[in-house]
Amino acid sequence: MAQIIKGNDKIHKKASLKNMNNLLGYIWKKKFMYSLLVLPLLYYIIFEYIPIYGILIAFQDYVPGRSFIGSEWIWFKNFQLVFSSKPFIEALRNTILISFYKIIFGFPFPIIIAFLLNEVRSSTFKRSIQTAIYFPNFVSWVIVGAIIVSIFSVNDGLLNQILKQMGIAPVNIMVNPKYFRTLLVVSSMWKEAGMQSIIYLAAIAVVDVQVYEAAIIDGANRWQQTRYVTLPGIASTIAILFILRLGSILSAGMEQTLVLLNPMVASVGENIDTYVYKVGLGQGDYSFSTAVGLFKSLVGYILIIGSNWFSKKVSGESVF
Amino acid sequence: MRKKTGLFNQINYILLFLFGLSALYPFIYILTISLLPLDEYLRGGPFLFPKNISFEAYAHILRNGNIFMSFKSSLIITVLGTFTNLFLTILCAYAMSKTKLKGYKIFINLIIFTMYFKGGLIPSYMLIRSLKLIDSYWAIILSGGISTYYMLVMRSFFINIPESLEEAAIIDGATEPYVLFKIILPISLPVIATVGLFYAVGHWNSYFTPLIYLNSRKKWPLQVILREILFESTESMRTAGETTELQKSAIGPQLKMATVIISVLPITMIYPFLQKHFVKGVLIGAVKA
Amino acid sequence: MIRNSKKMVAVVLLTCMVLSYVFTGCIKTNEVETQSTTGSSNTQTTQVKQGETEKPYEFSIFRSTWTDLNEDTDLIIKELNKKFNIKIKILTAPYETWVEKYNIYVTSGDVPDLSVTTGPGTMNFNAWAKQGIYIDINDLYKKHCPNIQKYISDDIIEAHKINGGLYGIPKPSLSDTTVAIRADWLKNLNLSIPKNLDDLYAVLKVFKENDPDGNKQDDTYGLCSEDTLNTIDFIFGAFGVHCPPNVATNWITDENGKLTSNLLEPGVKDAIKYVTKLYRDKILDQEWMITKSQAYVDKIHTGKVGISKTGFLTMIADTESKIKANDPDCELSIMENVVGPEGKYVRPMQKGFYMVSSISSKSKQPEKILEFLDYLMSDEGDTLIRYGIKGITYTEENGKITVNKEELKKYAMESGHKFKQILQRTALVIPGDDTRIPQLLEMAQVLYEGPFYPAPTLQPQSLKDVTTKQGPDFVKNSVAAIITGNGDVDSEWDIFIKQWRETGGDQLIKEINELYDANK
Repeated sequence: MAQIIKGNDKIHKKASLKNMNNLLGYIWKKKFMYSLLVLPLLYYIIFEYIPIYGILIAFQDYVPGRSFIGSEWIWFKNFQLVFSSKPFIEALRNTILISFYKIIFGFPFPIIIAFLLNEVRSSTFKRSIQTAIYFPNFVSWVIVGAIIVSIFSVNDGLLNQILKQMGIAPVNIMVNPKYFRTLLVVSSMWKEAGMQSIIYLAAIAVVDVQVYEAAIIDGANRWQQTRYVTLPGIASTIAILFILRLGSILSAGMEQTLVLLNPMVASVGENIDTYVYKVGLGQGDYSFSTAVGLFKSLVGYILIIGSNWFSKKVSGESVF
Repeated sequence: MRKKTGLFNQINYILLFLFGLSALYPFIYILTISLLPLDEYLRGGPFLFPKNISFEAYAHILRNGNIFMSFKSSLIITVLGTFTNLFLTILCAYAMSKTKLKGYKIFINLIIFTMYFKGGLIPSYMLIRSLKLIDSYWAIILSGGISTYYMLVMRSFFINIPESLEEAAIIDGATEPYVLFKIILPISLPVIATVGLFYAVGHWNSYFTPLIYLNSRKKWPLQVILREILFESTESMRTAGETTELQKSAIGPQLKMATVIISVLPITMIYPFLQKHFVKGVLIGAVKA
Repeated sequence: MIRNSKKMVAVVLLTCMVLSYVFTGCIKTNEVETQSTTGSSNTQTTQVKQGETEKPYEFSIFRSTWTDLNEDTDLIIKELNKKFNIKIKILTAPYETWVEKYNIYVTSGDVPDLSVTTGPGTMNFNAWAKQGIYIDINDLYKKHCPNIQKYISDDIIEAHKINGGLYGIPKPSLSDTTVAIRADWLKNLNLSIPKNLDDLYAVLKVFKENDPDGNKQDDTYGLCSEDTLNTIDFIFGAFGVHCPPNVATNWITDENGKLTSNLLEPGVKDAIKYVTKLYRDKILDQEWMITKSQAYVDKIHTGKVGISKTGFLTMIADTESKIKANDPDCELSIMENVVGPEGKYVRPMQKGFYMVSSISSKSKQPEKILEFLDYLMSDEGDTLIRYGIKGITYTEENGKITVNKEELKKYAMESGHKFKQILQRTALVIPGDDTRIPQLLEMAQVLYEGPFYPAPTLQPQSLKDVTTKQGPDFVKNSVAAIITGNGDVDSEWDIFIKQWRETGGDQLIKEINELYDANK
């Protein structure tokens, strides 16, 4: 018996040595790929992982100037504070709702724009429209917000001037809670679609021409080409962008909301980011903002890991 | 069939045209105000066709001593930053597109984790400080070295490239570096151009990071200087003695708009040059050959 | 193929060029920077034998919005460097982000020698004082700052002490706002300046409805306001209220001498009722609650607003001329304190100061810094900061100073040198020829009388907890809802106050009083 066991040990030892050799051999064989990874991994380790201890601030009563270890531990106090706060829960609800609407409407919109642009024959028209719609992305919300306010102003804004001509009483859009979320969603769609459509245009550009040629030979019209060639061709791009978009579901827009928010619509518009910003204003309370940030990160991370797993279950392919 | 597509085309053109117009409206609005002499602005109205034009606002900005230096700074940060970003991102995305590589799962999970869990401003600053990079452009460039988001997008494009392409090349005796540089990259110009554009825009617009990591005002990029000029002219502080000369002068709104135009124009002009990369047909006959 | 590799080569070359440029640039500037870094590692002045010159004492000054201030070329800084044998280094950040930048400086240990910040009760100032980031300059102040003591009252200094230690010298500052009314509109409509609330209502109504500018359009506003209600504080003043209920944390003394929230001042409810009536009768701009400060100012400048808030000093020099560019008939008059139901009026509360100067505990020669600060408040220093250098930017004849506007502009000193933001006496001066100026200056004297907040540097420790619980903007949102809603103001206001008190308001009042007593 003992002999056999010893023999087994030897075999195991030999096996693991062999594994080691195999591993090293494998690495050597694939050295090009691994060498590609050296610099990027170095970046991640140094610039992303080393500072990660900063997350601890969420659990401490941190004051800049004190060391991280020296500060008092308050553990989950910040979390207890926000989750027992009705306004925070309201802000959370707003965040999720607004994000949800932004995803439902705002996610497909740039894709549709990209498809529409793709159908344009005239290259000049296509390019000029592309350049035009990509512009609002660069104008800060401070300016765009001011433009929006002036258009909807109840004192002679463009909209009310038109209504006046038509004999309708003026409406005060900006202060109406019913319209505020729509305003947020539509204005951000308009502002960002141009820039976001670029990725989809690039994706469409790399779809293999031969597949189109084959489809045309088979008698497919433009709509069928789009549906059976282009769409599947960019499906993986859509998938990764969608999953990544889900990960930022708890970010409903800070600058946009700060600019457009007013007391009458606060109950439907205040989101987590503006909430944290205002509570911390002038206080310099890093632990508070880090704590809420941690919460957002956790939710986002779970969402993308979850949706990735889900997509694997459903389509057999995972995005990463 | 023809009629249908004809109608569709017309509607398409109209819709896109309207969208483009609505997107241009703020641009025209901003440009017009920036060129107005004061009295025309205050009279209100839609500002479409001003009768008189004044470049006073632009002159004022260009007179600022820091403007040209800050423009140079922005240029350095954007160019150097984008190159570094693309370099690192391409390497990472390509390697990570090889999902069968041993260790892939570990690497990808480590990377994605950092997309969500970050240490925050203060530890990052302390790190940069201990690397003695404070007040150097490299602090900005390296601290944003790879955007995992863009890396994942690029990776998805690489994965989409048919394997047969690489296999064919290897059968023909190509080495792995050759495959990457001579085959994959040329085909991937659209995504590289796109991601490059996004990185460039990010750098050009960056305001906060340069502020934190750069102490010398000489190195502050355009956005910082423009905001300072802007702040100087808006009347947000009304305590006695705090009002500046500029707040008293009459070119506030024009100045605000002129700063927008100056900060946006350079980056908007890059786009048309990149558009040629979004043309179909890059993959012509590659596998066949 | 060849084309591709040529392209590659070009790209690589370009990258190398840019890289090398940057590297050499980095090395050069790094060298320069190590010679005068922030904070402590400055060259020391050593006690040397007589006959040898001392090295100048280098120290850094931090304040926001000083991007344009260049210590190498600035006229005044060069002068000061010469005079005191110092070398000033300027550290700054733009207005929106200076707090973050300053926090970074403290975190990394590079505390600027002299910091001009918002002081006790804000940021992490109190914690930093306790940690020893700043030195307690109590004794040094008494010894080295005779001029400052002349111009800053002991009360204000006391208010700035933390546990008996003085960690920052406040800069005196008065809020110079007043109410201006369109005198030309009054003339057109044959009205006189309203003196009490009833008159005010009547005049505002007429301003709104009877086309005061005679342009046959219904485009005038009765009254406009910013969303913070601060621009109509004169209405609240008529009810004896010292600060409009935009926030609840302006602590004032009640009739028993204890501190209470500005929300609880008697008269606030009636003031809100008055404002609500103005809103419901469409005399108050229906958009006031979305009007932020820049938009408010823009509205005034369109010339369609009858009564507005402006600065004493800027009223004529600035506001009027801007409105005139659009509406040449504009003539502004000061509308003096409108009185309320009891024939009384109170002026809005002031802090009396804006920002404080603190000295880092790592600075090598704090006395020198204090001397520099004191100089700013001396006659000579004040003249230097205000008017520049004799013979270059101004001339003096028989005690009268004539400034050379061209030269001032050249040195970016048209409204004085930026160092006036560190410390300056509050002398209200408007150079100019308008006949109304002497009257304005005389009226502006009232600013010195206050009233002043009793505890401007104190905030209760539970503030963050209560704000979290009530939600940010709780007060602002509730008040706006009451004014613009359709309910009964009396009952709604009472409900609001009760809610504020129960969700933490009473707790805050209790704490602020404890702090106040402890600090006395």
